[in-house]
Amino acid sequence: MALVRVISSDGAAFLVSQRLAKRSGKLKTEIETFRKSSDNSEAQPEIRIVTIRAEILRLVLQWLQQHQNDPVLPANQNEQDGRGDAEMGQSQWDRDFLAPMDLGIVMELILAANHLEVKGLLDITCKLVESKITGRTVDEIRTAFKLKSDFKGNEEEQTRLENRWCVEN
Amino acid sequence: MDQTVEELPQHNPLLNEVILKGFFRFCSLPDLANCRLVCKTWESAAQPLWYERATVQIVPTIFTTEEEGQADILNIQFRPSIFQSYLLKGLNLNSDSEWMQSFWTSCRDFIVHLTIKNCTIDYLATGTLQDLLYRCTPNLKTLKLEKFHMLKDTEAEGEEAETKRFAPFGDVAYDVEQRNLKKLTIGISDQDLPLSLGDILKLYPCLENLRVHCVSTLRYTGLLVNGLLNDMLNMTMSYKLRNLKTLDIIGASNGSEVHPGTLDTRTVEYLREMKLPLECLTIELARDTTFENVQEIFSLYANSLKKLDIFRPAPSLPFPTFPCNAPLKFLTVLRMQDNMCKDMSFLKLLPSLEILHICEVELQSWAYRPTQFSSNIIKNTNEGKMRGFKSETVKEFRFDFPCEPDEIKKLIRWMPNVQRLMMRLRTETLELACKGWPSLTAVGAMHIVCEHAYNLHIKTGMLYSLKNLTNFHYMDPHYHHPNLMDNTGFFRYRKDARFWF
Repeated sequence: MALVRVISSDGAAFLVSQRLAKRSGKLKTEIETFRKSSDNSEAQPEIRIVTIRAEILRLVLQWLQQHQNDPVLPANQNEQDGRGDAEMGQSQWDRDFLAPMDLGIVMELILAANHLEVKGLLDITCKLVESKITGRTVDEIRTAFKLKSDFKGNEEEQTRLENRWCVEN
Repeated sequence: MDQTVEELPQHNPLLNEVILKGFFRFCSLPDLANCRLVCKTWESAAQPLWYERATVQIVPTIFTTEEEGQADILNIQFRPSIFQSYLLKGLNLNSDSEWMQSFWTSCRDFIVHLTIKNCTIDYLATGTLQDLLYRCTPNLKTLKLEKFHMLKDTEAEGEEAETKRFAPFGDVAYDVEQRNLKKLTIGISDQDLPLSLGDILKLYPCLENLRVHCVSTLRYTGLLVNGLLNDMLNMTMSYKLRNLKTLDIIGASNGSEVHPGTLDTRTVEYLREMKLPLECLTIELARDTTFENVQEIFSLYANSLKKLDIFRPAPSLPFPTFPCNAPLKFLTVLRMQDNMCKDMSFLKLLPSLEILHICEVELQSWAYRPTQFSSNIIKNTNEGKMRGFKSETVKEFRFDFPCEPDEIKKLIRWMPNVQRLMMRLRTETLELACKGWPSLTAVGAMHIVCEHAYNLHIKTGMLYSLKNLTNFHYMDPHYHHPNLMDNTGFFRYRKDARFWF
């Protein structure tokens, strides 16, 4: 079985099968680039991911491992209909997988999933964040995500006016 | 939140557009609306999605020529496939036309709240509109129809023309009841007054909230509106709208002094027979409404009424006392004009009152203005009667008239816990108000006469050490200007509350 070494930003190396790694769009491209530039087709590719630390990379790979037999979704299929995708991907295993994570880890995971182009993982993590937005007021969202309003003048008022028909009872 | 995220603001995924769009894909429309208000980055990420999902089309509303109208319809960007995949909770439509039919067939089941603004209907298109209102929207809970323009059949004449004009509401061919509809709002102008509006109510037996606003510019319209209201009440009765909790019917005279109002003796009779469990009532008294009529209305709903907006036409002398002989135990919001009663002793009858607005009589004609814009309602209040009384529940107070210092002192005694205040204030009275109501969080000062620096100190809460004060607004004498009112957020001027166009 062909293997690939994936190295995290803090130097930890993970040895995974190329078949598994190729389920990530980014790793797939990297492996192919390595193949083309390498004379020896038997050589083991080594990929350095400078933006992702070991803990997060391990989680991504763990998720890929679990979902290695899922059908691959074309990246742009059903772009409008995000809802359907997420429900397909959301299994009990996923829920258990995400349950112990704090928001910081989830955020890093989202960045990692986005960087490595793992659509399924990106969907379920985004869905998790969305569930923290659902039904909250603007102030509650700002507090939960530690964000500050940077609207100037009547910008906020303008938006509020546009929203009005939707939020008023 | 984990520290890593905070340490690297430039990599904060919460400000990364790609990531944000990821979240927003799963949000419902009201949640998306909230997300837009979080910060600029969120707004710019959410905006395209919002426009895509929330709006079917925005086209110029009133066609000046036929060709122009058709061009608009061709430009409609409507893609039902998008709507099918989301739970569509609202929809603004700015025009009625042939495409409507196909639109409703593709996304009817998703529509829960529907607002139609500026609907221009050709008499030929009334069938489509009827389909929309009665058949094509089975899951509808809220329906708002605002500003209808009906284009007349120019060839028909006399009575025939009238019948055709009113057809969209009246000539109802469907008999399928829509039990889901809970809230119906209809705004119409006098030219398009559908006389048999009451008919449509039979299709909505579970209605809880009914608002009908008629805006009139013609002098005689009051009569028509009156007929309309009575017609509707009659229908309400015969169709057994037993769940109606909110009744808000204003035949808006727009200040015209000949307008006879909507609550006359006949209306009172209807209301008496219907025994509705009304919680919110907005009503305009007729010129000939008697003290006893109003008393009867109040006693009918003494055990259910929570919110009351009541207007009297001008010029009329104040009632000698508040027309109520038993306490309104649950009333929390009262908006009225100062000609409702002579003094403030009604506070004793309202143990749960939280919001009290005493407004100026709204008039187009200045001839009938009360002299010098002052009100005697505080002055007339008998000190002896009010001794030892205070209403601790009142949180918001609006008074449209100038106040003398001793009047402010009285108000402070009667309502010690006011937090939001809107009044005409001078330096002296403002100081009294700030000192007397330490819990103030918001002040809207009309006709304020103070130095600028002085105001700034009040604004920051430094002067008079008002710790909780976060809002301080000056009101222009033309304070009914809608933009000014929007800024305050909490005071709803009568005009604002009643009209949306």
